[in-house]
Amino acid sequence: MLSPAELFAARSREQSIPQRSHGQKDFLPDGSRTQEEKLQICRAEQWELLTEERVERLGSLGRGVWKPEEELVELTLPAGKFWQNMGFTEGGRQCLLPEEAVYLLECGSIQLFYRDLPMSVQEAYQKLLSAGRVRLLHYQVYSHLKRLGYIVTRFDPSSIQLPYERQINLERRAGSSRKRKRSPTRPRLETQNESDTSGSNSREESNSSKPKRPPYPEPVTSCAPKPITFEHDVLENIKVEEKAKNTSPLHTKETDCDKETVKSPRDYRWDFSKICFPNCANDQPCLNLPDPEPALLPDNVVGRQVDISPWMRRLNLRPEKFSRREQEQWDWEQKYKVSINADPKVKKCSNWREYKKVLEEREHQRHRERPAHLWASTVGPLLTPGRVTSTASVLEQLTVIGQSTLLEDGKRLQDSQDNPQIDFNLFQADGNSEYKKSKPGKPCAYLCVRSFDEPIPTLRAMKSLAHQSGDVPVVFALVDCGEIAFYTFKDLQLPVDIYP
Amino acid sequence: MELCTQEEDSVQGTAATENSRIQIHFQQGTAFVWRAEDARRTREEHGLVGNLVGALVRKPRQNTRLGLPLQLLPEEARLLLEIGAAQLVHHGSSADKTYDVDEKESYAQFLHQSYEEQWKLALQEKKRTLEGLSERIVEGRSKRKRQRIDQNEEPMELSSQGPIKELLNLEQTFHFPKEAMMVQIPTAQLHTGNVEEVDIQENKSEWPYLDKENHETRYKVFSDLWQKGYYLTSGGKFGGDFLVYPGDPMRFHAHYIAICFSQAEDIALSDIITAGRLGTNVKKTVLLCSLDREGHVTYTSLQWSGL
Amino acid sequence: MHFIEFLLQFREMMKLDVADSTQVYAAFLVYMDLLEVRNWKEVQILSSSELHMIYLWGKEKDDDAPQILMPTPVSMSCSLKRIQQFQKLNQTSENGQNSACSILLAVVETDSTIVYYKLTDGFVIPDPPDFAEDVDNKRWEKRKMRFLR
Repeated sequence: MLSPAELFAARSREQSIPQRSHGQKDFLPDGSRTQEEKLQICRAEQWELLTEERVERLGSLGRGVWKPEEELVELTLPAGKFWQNMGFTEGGRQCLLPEEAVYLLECGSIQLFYRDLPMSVQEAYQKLLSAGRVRLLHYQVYSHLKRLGYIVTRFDPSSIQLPYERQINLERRAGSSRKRKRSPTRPRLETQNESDTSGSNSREESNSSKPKRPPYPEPVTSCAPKPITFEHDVLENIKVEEKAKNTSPLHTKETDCDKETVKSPRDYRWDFSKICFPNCANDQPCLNLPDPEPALLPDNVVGRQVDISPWMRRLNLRPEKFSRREQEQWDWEQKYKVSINADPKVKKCSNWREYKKVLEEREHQRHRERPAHLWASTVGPLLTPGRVTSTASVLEQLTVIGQSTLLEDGKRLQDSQDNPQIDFNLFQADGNSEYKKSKPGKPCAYLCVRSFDEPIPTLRAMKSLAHQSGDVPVVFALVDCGEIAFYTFKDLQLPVDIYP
Repeated sequence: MELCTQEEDSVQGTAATENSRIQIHFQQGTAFVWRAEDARRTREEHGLVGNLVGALVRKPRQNTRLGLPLQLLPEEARLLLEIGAAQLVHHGSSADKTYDVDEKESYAQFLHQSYEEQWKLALQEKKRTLEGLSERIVEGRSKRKRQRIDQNEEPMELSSQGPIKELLNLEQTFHFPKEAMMVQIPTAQLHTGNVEEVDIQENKSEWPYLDKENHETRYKVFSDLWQKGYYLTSGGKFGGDFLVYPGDPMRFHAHYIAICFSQAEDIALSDIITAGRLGTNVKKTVLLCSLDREGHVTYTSLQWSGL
Repeated sequence: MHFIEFLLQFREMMKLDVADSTQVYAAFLVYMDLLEVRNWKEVQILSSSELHMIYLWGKEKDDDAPQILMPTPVSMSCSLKRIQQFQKLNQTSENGQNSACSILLAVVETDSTIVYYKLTDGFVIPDPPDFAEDVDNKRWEKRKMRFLR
């Protein structure tokens, strides 16, 4: 123990560490005096540093009490600056985890007490790091990273996102509370829109295997869906029409015929070829809507002629402007894409059933044209004519062993017991880090602490770890007799030369 | 009281350490040296390096230079024990049993005494600085007074000879808050009275290496190289068992990467090539080490032929 | 040497009947490599029934000391004992002048690539780093450059 005089003198002791600049290391000892002297200087420096004891001003020290039965350190003085990214509150007490307490003790930031007596660093190592989750090996990694300036927290498996949560990108919204309110509705809206547009296209696509539709409407002027939009957008405020829409049998009938494909179109109460749906598009101004046929309206509703020009003026009918990429896509489609509606045979179809029938006939015809000795036996051609769209897809079919990534198939490997476990979350602590104790956000890495004598984790273990961690890299901290090296396995995507 | 008789203790201490043994503390199969003096002797008297793993007292938040404890390789620890230079000690539950209320009291007393003495020292320091400055202070004051006299023409006695008034009743006014007191956070455990010595041959929970395959070979190779005068550190980062230095690693680069094999063990040729290639890249010779039937260590140097 | 001659040589090696065919083939490939690619002199084919192997003897240049080669297919593993036995065999062989106790391990890959590693009994100090002082100078030069910029 240092004497009061020594303690007092420590206030003005050297603060900087000597730079190790004693020239290059030598290759062979030659017994010369210069070599000996250099070594002595180095050693003297080392012993000077090592004999120095931690001496701190009482006022700048935190104070913690070790509670072995709870495996925590309770702070009996308000925490210092370290509270920003260390410690936790429990039952109204400010507490530290054992590894945090030992680290702060080593840094000379707190005093640790056990049974009212101050603990030495050695004692703290022996008492705090011999039980619980974080042992000596883990502490060495923990303190190494802390000394480098990282924020290190214990890993909690429940903090990890389910693959589904990751998929719908829940994390980003959970990041800020303001966004969180909106989050439940947003993804649903997106998926709805998606299914709305793709639903009508899906059949066509599956048959023609053309690239996916652009997000803007089909260039072919399809007349059927338009009037409904028209009704919604323009005539909503016209009382008469509104009521007619809500109560009209037309509305229900129409949806019915969509669903259960009416037996004969002649049975229809409505002859659509005779009902005129006005086209109010920008290029075909039809400003005067005629008096609706009284037979189409319920008894208590009176129709009248409407001039929609004032409405047209209010609408934003500016032509849609494409971005350059959209324009390119558009041009490309104009060139190569054939609308299914342009097919005269398809045009003749009045419902889905007929359309399907046409498709089936065509398929049959295609099969009939193929020579049976090639196509009918058990071994047939790999590629079907007309189905091949790109070189890449052909190559893909030829692939014997497919590529696999670390993240694939992770799910079914989950439940094996002897996998290495993630021990710590690692966060950057620089200026642009968004770490907050209450809302840590996404760590920059997960750490697995392993000893150097342990075997290299199996591919199975790697995959299951990768599955757990998702897009956060898993870093292995290997401890070799106190020396720490970091290794990580990276997923490598081989470059592909041919694109579809 | 034990804690306050520091000077006597340290005198006795240095005399005693000359022939006392280095203390190695085991914790979860890891050997630590906690006292700076022991760390020095480990290196200077026995040529063993170890690895510093704690935070450096002077600058704790960096990794380029570390502080105590000194972690020893299992081979280093065993060697020190076998040559009788060290004792393996264990702080068992007995340390808790001998807990004493007196200890608590004596700590409080020690703190109090320390405060009193630091108060005195601070007072002395203040006095010295004031005395050093007093001439200038006096000068400054008399100048101001003179100015005042010049302006107001008020007669005033110039009694500023001798000590200034701050110095006179300094002892009454001197304030040295408790927070300003310096306290020590000791590195090594202070109460060394209640340690038990452990025999590694008998205590396998403290020494888990005996059963490990390869430990015996590693140990024999280690001690043989050490006897030849080489310095050794762990060689994991170069894919070997040890790094072998011709002199203290502080001043010399490693010459060899020692890899231990049992003699009849089949070594995959790809492993030999890997080791040889790595050695060539870092300009070190790979040393394939094994024990022959008589237990002597044989060494084979592996180098890329340049062909 | 003509291809046919090599083929005959290979037959001869097989006839020695001391080792399994993969080792003989490895030895044959090393033999070709030494003669055809590296232009070694006085290359001889030797065999050891004790170690079940065919090995080679030769000089890199006319005035060089002869070297002993241990051809091994990469698939084979090799114990230190075997290496030491080979070194001893080499010491006691009639070519007494090779006393350095160093052998060349010729590892033959499956694609017939050959790598040569030197195995020496005892300690061989590695080459010193190239001019340590030079490195210091270079560093200083760099620093100077930075100041001048």
